[in-house]
Amino acid sequence: MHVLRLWSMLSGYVIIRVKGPALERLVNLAASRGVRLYDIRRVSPDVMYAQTSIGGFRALRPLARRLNCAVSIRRKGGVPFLLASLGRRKALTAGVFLFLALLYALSSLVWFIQLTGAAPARRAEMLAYLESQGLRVGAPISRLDREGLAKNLLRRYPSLTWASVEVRGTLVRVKVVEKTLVPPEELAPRHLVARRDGLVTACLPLRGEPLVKPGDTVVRGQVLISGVVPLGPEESPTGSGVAVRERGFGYLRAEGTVRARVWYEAVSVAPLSGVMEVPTGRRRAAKGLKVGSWRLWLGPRSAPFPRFRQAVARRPLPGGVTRILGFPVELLDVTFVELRQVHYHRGVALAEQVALQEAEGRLRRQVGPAKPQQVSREVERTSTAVRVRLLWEVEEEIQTSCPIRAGEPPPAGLPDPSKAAQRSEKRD
Amino acid sequence: MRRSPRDRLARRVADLFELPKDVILDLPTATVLGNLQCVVENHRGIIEYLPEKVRVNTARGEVVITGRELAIGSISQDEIVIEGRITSLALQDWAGE
Repeated sequence: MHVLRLWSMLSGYVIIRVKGPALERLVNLAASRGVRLYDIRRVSPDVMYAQTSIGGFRALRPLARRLNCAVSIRRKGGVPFLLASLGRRKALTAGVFLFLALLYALSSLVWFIQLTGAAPARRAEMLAYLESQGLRVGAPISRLDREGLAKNLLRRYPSLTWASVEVRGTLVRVKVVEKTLVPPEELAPRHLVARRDGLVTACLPLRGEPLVKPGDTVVRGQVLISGVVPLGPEESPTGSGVAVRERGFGYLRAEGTVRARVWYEAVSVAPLSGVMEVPTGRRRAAKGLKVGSWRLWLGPRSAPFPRFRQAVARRPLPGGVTRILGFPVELLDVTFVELRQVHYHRGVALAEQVALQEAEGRLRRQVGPAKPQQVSREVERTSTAVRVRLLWEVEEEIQTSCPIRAGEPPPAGLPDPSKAAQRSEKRD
Repeated sequence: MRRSPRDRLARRVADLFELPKDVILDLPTATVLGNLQCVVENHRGIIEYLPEKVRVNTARGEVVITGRELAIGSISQDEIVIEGRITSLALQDWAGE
């Protein structure tokens, strides 16, 4: 049925109105003569509508005249009639073709230029350069040399690693990638120096000249791995990362690890009597809502006690709330705890324990995750207090990077540059 | 129409060789598609066409289709397509049997 409809659209069709006394006979006659009629609809005893082809209509007319039927055209449709009407309307036809031609012509020009990846500071300049190379709005796309443009961009801007020019319809997309350069300060020559005093247990230089060996004692600030290395005259500076070459020495960024035994000391004094503050058990709570920089308080704003300790718990609402509102929202829980002063007296054993705990806690904070070994513990008792002195030993990495100042002499203990040629392999 | 001896012979031949009877015996075929469409093949023209009733002539008798808003979708020498809302299909004045 759809094929039929399509065919009738292509070949043209007419809808006719037939008026006459013997419509069935006309239909039969038409069928027997091979005139195909479609969609026959009878609207009254002597009137019917039907659809037929152009040829069918021509063949039907003599038959209708014979049966005293009047045939009139109600509607014409399909391509042939459309073409005929176009033929009559020359200006419209010309307009259609002009439109198509214009559309085609305009779609072969560059309309939009998109530049992505360029450093913001250089964008405008790069676009101006592209324009000078022929890439401008209105330029014909067919004359665009995409590879040449990309190549010229790379040549003109050495800080680009990659450039491409891509045409999408009337949009020209220029994509460039800027090189990420290593910041010069990261390339500047540096020593590795000791962070603390210690006794070296291992020295693993990755780059640079080691100046210490296991068993050496070092003091804070001493150069452990030198960024100044002696160079033989024929030695290539690139492989070893040498940045500067000067008077037989190369300057580079020393790297490596130096482990050493390091000592930590803490002294803590605990008096046998004194005054301390203890909670009385009374407390007051306050709640607050913090929205951006604005706060809403429920409960006392300041402490209702003469001596008190204050604890604040912040409970930020889930991140989603912040995202929706655009500013953080927090719930604040403030607790005021009343304190009172108490005079205390304690025994020597208790005071010693308190002092020891405090000293240990201080050391542990300093040492961090390393595993310490206790070297000595001195306890000194007086009539008023107990004094505890703790000494711990930790084996840890002690190197820290330190820039080499301009004009700084090479550290003492470096091998003679004239003998460096034989040593170079060992260092690499 | 009466049954002729020639007819009877044709029917026997058709039975014997299992040939399609509509071809051998010049029988009409009516195919009804739901209540939407009725295709009558091997017809001999329209006797009457009204929006409520279509009578199609065949070699053996009439095929009478009744319904509402009936239209003749297409007509050619071999087949008639009747469209609309069909309520019944009857065979009238059938020859034989």
